[in-house]
Amino acid sequence: MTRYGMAIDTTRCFGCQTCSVACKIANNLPKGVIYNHVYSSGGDLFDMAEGEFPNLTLSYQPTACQHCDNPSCLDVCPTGATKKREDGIVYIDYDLCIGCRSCIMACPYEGVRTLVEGDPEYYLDVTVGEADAPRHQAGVVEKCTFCHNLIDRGEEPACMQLCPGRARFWGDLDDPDSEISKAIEGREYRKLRESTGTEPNVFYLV
Amino acid sequence: MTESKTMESRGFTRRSFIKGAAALTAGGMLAGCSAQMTELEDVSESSQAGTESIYQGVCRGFCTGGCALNLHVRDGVLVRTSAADMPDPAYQRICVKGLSEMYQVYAADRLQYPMRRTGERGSGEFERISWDEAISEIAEKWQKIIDESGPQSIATFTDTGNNAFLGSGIMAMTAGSMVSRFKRAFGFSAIDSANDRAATFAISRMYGPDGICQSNEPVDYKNCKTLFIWSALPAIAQVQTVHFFNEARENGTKIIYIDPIYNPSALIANEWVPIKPGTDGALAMGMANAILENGWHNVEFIKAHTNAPFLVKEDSSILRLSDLGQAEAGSDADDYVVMAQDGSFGAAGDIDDPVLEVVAADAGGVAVTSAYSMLLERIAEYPVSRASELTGIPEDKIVELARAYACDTPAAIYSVFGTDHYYNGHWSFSCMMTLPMLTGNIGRSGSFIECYRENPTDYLNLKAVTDVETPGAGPTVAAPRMPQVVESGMYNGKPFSLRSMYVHSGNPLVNLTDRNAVVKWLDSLELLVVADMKMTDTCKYADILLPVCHWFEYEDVYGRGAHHPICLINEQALEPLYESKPDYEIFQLIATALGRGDDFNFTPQTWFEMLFDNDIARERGISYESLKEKKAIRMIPEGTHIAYEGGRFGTSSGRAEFYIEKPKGSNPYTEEWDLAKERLPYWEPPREVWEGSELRKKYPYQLMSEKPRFRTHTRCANVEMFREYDPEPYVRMCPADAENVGVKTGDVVRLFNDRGYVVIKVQVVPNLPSGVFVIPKGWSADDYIEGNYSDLTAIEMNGFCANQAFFDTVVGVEKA
Repeated sequence: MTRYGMAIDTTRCFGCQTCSVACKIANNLPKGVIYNHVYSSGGDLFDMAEGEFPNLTLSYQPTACQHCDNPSCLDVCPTGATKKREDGIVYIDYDLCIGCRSCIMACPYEGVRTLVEGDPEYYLDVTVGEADAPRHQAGVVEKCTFCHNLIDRGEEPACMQLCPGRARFWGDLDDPDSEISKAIEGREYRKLRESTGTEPNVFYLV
Repeated sequence: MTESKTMESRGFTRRSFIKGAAALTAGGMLAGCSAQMTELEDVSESSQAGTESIYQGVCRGFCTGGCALNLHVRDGVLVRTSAADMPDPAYQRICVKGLSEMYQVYAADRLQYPMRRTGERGSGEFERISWDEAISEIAEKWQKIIDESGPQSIATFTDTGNNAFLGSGIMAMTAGSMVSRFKRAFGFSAIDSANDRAATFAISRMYGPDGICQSNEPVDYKNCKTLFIWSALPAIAQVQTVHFFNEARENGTKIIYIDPIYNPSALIANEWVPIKPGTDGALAMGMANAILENGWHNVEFIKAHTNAPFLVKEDSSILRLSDLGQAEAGSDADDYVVMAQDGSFGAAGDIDDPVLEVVAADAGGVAVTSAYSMLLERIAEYPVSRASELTGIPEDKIVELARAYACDTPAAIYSVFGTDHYYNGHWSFSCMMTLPMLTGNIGRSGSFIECYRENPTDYLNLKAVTDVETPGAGPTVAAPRMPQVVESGMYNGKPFSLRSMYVHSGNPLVNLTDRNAVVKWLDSLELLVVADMKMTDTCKYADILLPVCHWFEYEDVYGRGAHHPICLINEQALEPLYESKPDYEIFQLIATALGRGDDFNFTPQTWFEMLFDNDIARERGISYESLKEKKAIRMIPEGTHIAYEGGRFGTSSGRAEFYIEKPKGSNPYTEEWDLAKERLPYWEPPREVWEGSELRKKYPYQLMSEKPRFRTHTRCANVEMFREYDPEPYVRMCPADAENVGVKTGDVVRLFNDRGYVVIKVQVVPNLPSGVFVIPKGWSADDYIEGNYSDLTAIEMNGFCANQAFFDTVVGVEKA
């Protein structure tokens, strides 16, 4: 059974933001919507290190929807807009979403969801990105879609197309020969907020 | 986040470019803008997904990425970009800037039609004119200037905006570009931005050219046992090198990052060594001492591949056989002389094992000292203890760095332009470049110094490019010299008056030092013509403004200046928007109006047929046709390029040179040269930022700039989408300094010195040492709350090496 996941090698990620911007463009995201935030370990500012000079450390954490096996968002959605495909991808049917924000409150992963409050606004008068990226609407919650529109026609998710650090991997976790399985093999990794019981499917290789 | 105050003040409007185009266009300019695209919703047709036409473009603001991109075009509109295939997948690349191309193509501030200034210079008040009017006015005024004071009174200013051959950005300027033909045909002068020159100046003097590149190909980095990243910011400024470093580190290379600031490049390394700003040369000298004291140097290499054993006479010239009457002066046989182990003197080519340390010896009646002994004297000025004091690096760490570099070999130094941006830049580099010479860490796999950036010209028919009748070349004047030139009316001992300038591929009012000084000398011009894609700060000063089309709106070839050795075609994917034209067409129009049209009768096809009419190009399979077919062709021989392979250098001696016999500065103000400093590696502290300097006492903080992720200088500054990530200028300072000033993140400060001031938001981060402020560069005048960062930097250049010293700037600070 296909079970999609992502892996990010944090020893290679250097915070270039390419994955975040690739996603924003491929999905023609409206103003104020970013699915994939690349956080710096030291704090809110880009590249902010932890510690006191010169004893400093820094790492980056690209963070988007974790496409959990046990998603907190699924059961709280009053309209059934939040769904989980058989291959693991958690997505939101915008036509059903009423923007109640229950999923935002239930999800332990801060920042991965955005409510598009009014009419979606854009920077350009042309649509950018994939022609089949889900259309944006006012008053719905948006998050990473695992680029199911791309995957379903045999392409790679936008954030996976070329990470300059060669730090990102994705694929079928149940296939030992998949890129992601090979990336994870033999590596130590951590996952985000596992104690919440969500069973996230993003592996942060350390 | 919706439109911020910043965006409004920049004048970003939601004006539909399509509607705008419909109002403006004369004829045919709606090609590429189909009538359907008036409403956002209707464009996305799921059935169209994945059916875009793909063209190849090259992203080429001079960040050295040189990324080959797939341009995805749907209904004549560029909708996205992705990394195109490269012959070696290791060179496949893209970054946030390459992803954002649509936001530049369809930017609201693109120049649409030629304009003539109506208000004061800098007011941004213009009226629309036709191309015919613009070209006639330029040609008329230029012809008058040429008739009255000669073509040298007109200069081109070319910087690094569009680095393809027809685009004529600076990497192409010296070879194969249309602007080099243009300058030559008319005998114009050039005003040179004098940026990033210290490193190349130092390596060219001491090692000479390699023919291909002065550093090893990035695929070689994994062969380093030890790799210093020193005076560079690869994690932000050369994004595409990072995976090569990562792979090297994973493969066992020990990477050490030497920098004043803990920036993301530290992640690439195993260890970060903080160093006091501007003291890299002192560290190198300290390391050299440690290497020599411990016997870690490579004697064989020093003897065979450097001019260490050469003998220097009292008049500073080097002893040759002709001095001993053993050959005719200047003949091929007139070799350098060295001392053999038995004390006799002979030709360097004959004596395999020369004596290195020679002090005041008598060589057939001539008193000589070896270059090596002179070097030892220089190095002795910086024992490890002194180097430690100057750099702030503990003594045992300096010794450890020296040991790792000299003994855990092959070792390499990846160095870019940090050190460069100080008054003492080329001096610091001269010391750094001594280290490979002492240890043999050059000319082999796993050993190099400098980043891979130059590309060869041997496959280009350069002769044909500039084969036009010429009245003679005009001078090239470093831009920071212009105030001096304007005041004196002289340059290089001759009368010189600049009456007109043509700016393209550049934005001097942001990117030159001491902006107020630049405004003044620009004001002295009778006619300032600026050609650009968008309304930059420099554009606002133009008398005539010409709209240049975007990179992907015309055909070109990219073949120099990247971190990869691949020649790439840039296909025309889109029609030029509005009335914009490619740079080369503008040169053609002006040349024609000035009566030289016949010399500029080219299409991209015929230009490249001429450019690649060359045996080496044919050997490598590079031609216009093959580029159109294959899109990407390796422009150097197969096999990983190793710079100076085998220890063969491009100097006249063929050796790496500790000792420079005839130092020549890169400016004609010889009264400013101090040859005693220049003959050997030399170091002295930076000019403004050094603690002892008068200026530093007055203005206690160093102000550095830094490369930003979301811009290459001002390229991409008009990508509105990036404002979600990088909304406005800020100055970074450490917590201790913030406390002293009484500010926290989000507060506003005023930075000031004798030259100007800027009012700017603060970000407090622990990454910086105390006393150092950093502003990421590439913001324009309207982005700042008040004032301008570009007003703060100093115009003074090192008297020997013409180079702008951006980091050698001190400021005072107060809460605003």
